[in-house]
Amino acid sequence: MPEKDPYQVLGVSRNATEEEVKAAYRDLAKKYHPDNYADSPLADVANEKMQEVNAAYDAVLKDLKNRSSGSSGSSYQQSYGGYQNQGGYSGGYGQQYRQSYSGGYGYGGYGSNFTDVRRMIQQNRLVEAEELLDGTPSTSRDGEWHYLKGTICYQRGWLDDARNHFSAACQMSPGNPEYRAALNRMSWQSQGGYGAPGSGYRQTSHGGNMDACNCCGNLLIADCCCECMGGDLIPCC
Amino acid sequence: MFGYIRPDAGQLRVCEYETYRAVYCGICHALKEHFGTLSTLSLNYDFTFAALLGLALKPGFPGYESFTCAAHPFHKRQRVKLEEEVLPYVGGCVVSMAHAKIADNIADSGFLKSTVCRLTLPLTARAEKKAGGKFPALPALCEQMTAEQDKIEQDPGASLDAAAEPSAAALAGMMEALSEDGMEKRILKRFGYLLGRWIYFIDALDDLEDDLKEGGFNPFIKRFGLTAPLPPEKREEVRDYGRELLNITGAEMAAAYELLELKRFKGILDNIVYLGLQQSIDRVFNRAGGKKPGEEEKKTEYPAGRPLL
Repeated sequence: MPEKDPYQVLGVSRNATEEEVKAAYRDLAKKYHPDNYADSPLADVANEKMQEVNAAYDAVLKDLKNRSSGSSGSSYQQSYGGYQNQGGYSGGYGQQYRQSYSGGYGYGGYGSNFTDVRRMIQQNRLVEAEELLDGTPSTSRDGEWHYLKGTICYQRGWLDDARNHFSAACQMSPGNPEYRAALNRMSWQSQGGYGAPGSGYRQTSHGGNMDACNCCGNLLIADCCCECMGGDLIPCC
Repeated sequence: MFGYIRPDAGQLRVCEYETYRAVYCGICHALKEHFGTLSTLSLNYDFTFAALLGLALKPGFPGYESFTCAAHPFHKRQRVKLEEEVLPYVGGCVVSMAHAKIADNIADSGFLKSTVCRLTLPLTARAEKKAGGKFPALPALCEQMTAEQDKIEQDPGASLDAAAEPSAAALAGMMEALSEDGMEKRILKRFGYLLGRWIYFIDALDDLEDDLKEGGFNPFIKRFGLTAPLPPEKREEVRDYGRELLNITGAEMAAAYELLELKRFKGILDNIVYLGLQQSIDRVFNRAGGKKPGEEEKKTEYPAGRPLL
């Protein structure tokens, strides 16, 4: 495949400023963030896009640096130094991405009763995975069973059943961050959000900014997010 | 069943609006050339969206031409030039779906409606046969959709998801064919599946009261155990649930959509995916039954309700 023009990948013009490049990168990184595609059958495509965007960002920054050193403007050098200190967006996002991709799914991370099912889902063998799950006697269907069943439904596009299973999983294992994250994402989307909660990608669909109604909802979701990371935003719930 | 996938016309730029119209007229032209003048009557907004997406993914663009439309004989209009891939294919989808819909109506409806449908059936059947000759996959997709839908309607235990499956699978198959590229096909398949599902649910919600009165099949009647005079609070419950379901489906659609590499028309397509779908939900829920009790009319800065086309 021919190498893509990094400027085109980021959607910026050739004479874009560093600020514009960074802003464009940030928007794309939010859009293709793995949280938005967790459990999705297109997660690998999003992953590829993310890598493409990361590479393009690095290439464009390098290009900018070359250009600015060529023109020997002192203010340019300064602003670049400023950016370096800032921590580097690409590293930050890229690392977070790789982490949540390899470990975040929780596959085999802790004692799972359904390692086979999880492996099959990862390999996109949904029919077999579901057969195996359905063969589980109803007495041993725990939170994980519902979570995995929900994941299969989700991948297939059966989003109503998926939400019901995620919700059952959370009821059975209230402390599990994996199940909670899946349910939170669907609650967020059901209220008109896109991507994952707090992903900052297209937060409002049409003018529906924070108002009295969804303010409480947003706070609750934020609280849930905090709780699944071990913190707490609203102590009473 | 059709016409829910459309832009929020008020939020389109004028050039985007003109483009949308040119694509609409382009499919109309393709329908006339390939499937006969009468087939243009089955054209709808949903497949205009499919054509926009198909054209947006192709590396080359055929360009525009001016023409005089029989329906508006005094104005010159612009349309997308007829090419050999997207427009005829989308036209084929239009006539195949129209035929499936008519055949389904005959099976489902009362005497009067079914008689009207019976009269149009030979016409749509002819167009559908032509479409099948050009695109052999289409009749199979539609037949499977109709057969599976019949099965679902007989099954007392079918869930909302199961009820949407036949339409979703058909749209998945149709959208998938808009690209040759393996990765793009996968994205389009997921996107089409969710699109079909979204259309199925909004159509079911739109028809809910009629189906209740006439005893037609509707997955929400079964899901909520509804009976004929629908009490307002029950209606609200169904609507709230329906809105959530549509929002979730729409969000997943958007996630798939964002992975596509669009070569043109991004403004219009973004409008449809992020604004148009929401507007359609509002339109359906405001149509019958009006506002929720105590809800005030929304004040907007722009006059609403610009007619599309």
